[in-house]
Amino acid sequence: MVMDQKLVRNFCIIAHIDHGKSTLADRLLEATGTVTKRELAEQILDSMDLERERGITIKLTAVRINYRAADGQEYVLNLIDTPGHVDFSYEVSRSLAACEGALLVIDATQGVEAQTLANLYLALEHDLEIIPVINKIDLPSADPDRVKREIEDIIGLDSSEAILASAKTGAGIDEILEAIVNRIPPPQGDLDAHLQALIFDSHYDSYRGAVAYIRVFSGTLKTGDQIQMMSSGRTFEVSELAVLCPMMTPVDRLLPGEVGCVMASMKNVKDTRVGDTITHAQRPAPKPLPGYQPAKPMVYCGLYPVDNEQYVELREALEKLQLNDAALAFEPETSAALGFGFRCGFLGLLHMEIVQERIEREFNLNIIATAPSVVYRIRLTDQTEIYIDNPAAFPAVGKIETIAEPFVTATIMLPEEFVGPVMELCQERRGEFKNMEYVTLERVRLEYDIPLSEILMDFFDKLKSRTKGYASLDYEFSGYRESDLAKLDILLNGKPVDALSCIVHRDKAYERGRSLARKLKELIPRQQFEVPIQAAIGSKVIARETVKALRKDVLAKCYGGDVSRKRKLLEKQKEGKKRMKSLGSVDVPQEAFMAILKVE
Amino acid sequence: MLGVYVHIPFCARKCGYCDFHSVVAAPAAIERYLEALSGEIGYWARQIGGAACATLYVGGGTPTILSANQLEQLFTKLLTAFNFEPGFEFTVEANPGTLSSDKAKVLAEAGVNRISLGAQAFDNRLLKAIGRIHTVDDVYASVELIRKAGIDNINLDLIEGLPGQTLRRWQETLAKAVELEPAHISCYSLILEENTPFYLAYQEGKLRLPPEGTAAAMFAHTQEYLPQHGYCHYEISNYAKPGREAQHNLIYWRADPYLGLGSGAHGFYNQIRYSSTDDLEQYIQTWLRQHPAFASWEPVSREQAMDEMMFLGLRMVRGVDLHRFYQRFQCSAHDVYGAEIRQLTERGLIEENDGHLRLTKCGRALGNMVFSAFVR
Repeated sequence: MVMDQKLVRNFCIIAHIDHGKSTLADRLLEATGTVTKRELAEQILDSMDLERERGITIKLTAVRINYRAADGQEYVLNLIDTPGHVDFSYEVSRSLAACEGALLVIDATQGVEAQTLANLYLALEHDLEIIPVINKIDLPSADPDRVKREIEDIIGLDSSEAILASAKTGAGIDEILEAIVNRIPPPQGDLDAHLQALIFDSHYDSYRGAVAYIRVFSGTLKTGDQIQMMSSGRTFEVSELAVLCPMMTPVDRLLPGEVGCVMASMKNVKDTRVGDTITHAQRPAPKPLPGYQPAKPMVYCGLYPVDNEQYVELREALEKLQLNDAALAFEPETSAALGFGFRCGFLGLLHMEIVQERIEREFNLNIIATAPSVVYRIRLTDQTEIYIDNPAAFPAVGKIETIAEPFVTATIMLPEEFVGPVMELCQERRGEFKNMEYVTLERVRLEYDIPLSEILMDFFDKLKSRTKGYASLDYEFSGYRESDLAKLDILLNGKPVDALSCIVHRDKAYERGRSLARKLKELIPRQQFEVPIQAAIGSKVIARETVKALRKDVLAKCYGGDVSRKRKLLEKQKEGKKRMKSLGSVDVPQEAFMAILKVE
Repeated sequence: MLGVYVHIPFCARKCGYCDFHSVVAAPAAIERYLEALSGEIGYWARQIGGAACATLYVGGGTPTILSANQLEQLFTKLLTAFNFEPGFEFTVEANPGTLSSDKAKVLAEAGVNRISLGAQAFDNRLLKAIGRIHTVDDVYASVELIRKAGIDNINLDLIEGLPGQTLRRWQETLAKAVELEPAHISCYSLILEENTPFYLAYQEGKLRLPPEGTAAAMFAHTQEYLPQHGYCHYEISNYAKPGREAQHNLIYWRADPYLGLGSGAHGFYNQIRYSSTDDLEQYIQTWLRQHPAFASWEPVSREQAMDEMMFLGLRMVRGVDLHRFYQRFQCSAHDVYGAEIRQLTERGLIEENDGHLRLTKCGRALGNMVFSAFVR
């Protein structure tokens, strides 16, 4: 069957987190009979367990929907899913490049949020046709008129084009499908031109090898074709082509505008680099499609096995995760306190948490994660410049001329009444005010330049609590700036613990040192001996706390012959110890390494 | 070594701290229970087929709440059903205030050679506060009765860390216990168990317990004081004059087999840990129909058996017999627990001596840290 390009639509759904993107996707699949209600046990597109639990989309996927429109024609709609969290804006931009249009979903009870805007700007950069959808209109607190005003005022779109919908009840779904067909332009591209297909995602399948998800822009791709990766020049023979509806369904060709996946005995996902262009080996395209900036990790932390003997298993776990997660970076590192482990780079905190959780759940490894750190740029006295992502690796004070740290531009959208407390929070976090505008009468958009390290420190939770949950945040890297920073060391039992070191602003060093020592005192359980905790800058101790010794902890009761009960009590105690790392004679729980993030 | 434990789940009154299976029951229920119990005795006698038994321990609850007649019948049944070794240790638990000279006589005549007396404290105010029915005078009277009946192997159970107890009062209790010259003294720590009145009161802030420092000082004092007065410390909570260690309890700590008979009792036989239902009525009705009334039945894996031998054996002051470990499992404890033993030794919690791995003095106070390391 030769597909008529005019009957293809490629679109994605963009939304602020929790605005109901996944449920809406489900409804579209259901309404078009792509999946039945029973198959749609849960949100189909979020296939990772973790995604479903956290209610977020991490990896994007594409689904092909067959739709008979009101005009009587049979259309193919390719829905390319996008993640909704600030950490993953890189992945959003990948999927946008494969589309001609986007549904912009806005919660009728919440209105336009920071990520709505961030994603919208990305979509506009890609020249996408935007269809605003006001979702959750079934809720009693829905205020579609206010949201319509926001669409006009903030986004600058004609609000009469917005569709009122409820993914829950199914209201507006037909209207959305018709709008996709009528408002989003069909893909362009010449069937017979040189092949140009953009890889927008890839994943590793243990049977098929690396699978590349592609969008064909021009030319025709058939099974058996010799293809070439334009960045590396490597060639492969296409063994299988498929479309996802939503299960992989083999096809023998993919035409311009079509979305599908390619299997070509590629052993490594590195062979299917996201953003790369696939062309024909014999008749290569003159130039690749515009690709993407590869994702740069913004946040680093150390991951160590609790049991040193599981080092190799941890490496294997990271390698496996990396197959499907190009943004994850890692390299071996050693810590005097924690032994052998890995320095891992992530897009952001959520990405970091997800990787940690997957390692523990899917690979059943107990790991210790050190506090996340940003990448510092240090100019040494000999005028060389180095980048350091681990406080423990900081050069000696005497060798440092200046330290620069990454700043981000943070955009915060919030109800007007909370502007005071939020500005205060930003000031406390060394933020520099840039801009404030009233987007509507009662909603404000604040812009601050803030050190990324301050965002890592529980900023989002603090923001939520100061605004009763009404603020939303988005940020992007804005550049390096010099700051007056110092390394704060922590000593347990008189010995420095490198994994607990952190970088703090000198003005806040005393305060942070004191509250970190206090926090550690709460977190470190009492042990056989008294454990002194000291916070120091250079050789100067700035705070001291003591964990008192545990004096008596023994089952000195007659349980008679009930050994099972004794065992259960001991198992419980052991379970608590599993998440602790022995540093010399001190057992330190996982939370202690994260304590710096929670101090005031 | 095979031990036999028999549980008598009846008390005159429940104490505030106690979570052992025991009820205040009507005489008729006791009668029916004993009938059901004799069914279980017969069952186990057939199961073990005349194997030699090294100890018999009748505990509770309060076994001495049974009438002299009931006691006599129970003992006769037990002694005919099982093949006890000559001179076997035969212990009965008794609570002061439930012992008469009649009963003491029945016990002695049946061959009971050891009485474990729930004295708990030599302090009337404390005894009352924890819900005991007896006074200090009752303790003296009971000891005298028992001795008069010709039983000289007496254990006194004491509890340290009771609400309102100071180090001083604990020292007094210990001194008074020693004055009585029992053969054996057990000093248990008060543990708040869920669903006891004490636990609930503690949750509501109505119960003040001695602070940890005081509890630790009591524990330390006991370990110092009793050996000075001729009692050898042989298990975390147990002290005995030479040769008077509780043979039955040693079976538990050495991970040797024992039968557990009666409602709520636990046993370990043929590498299976089992327990009987603690639903008294269910126990009675099931055994009256000659059906076993087990509530759990769990084979112990080789790994678990090793763990148990370690964490139970370490309770003994002498420690785990490493040679016996090797004999039992055909591998050395060092091969199995090398890392744990190394770390605990470095921390000064355990030490190896004379072919035994044992807790150090410091390790005894922090035993749970050590025991839990051997749980896999």
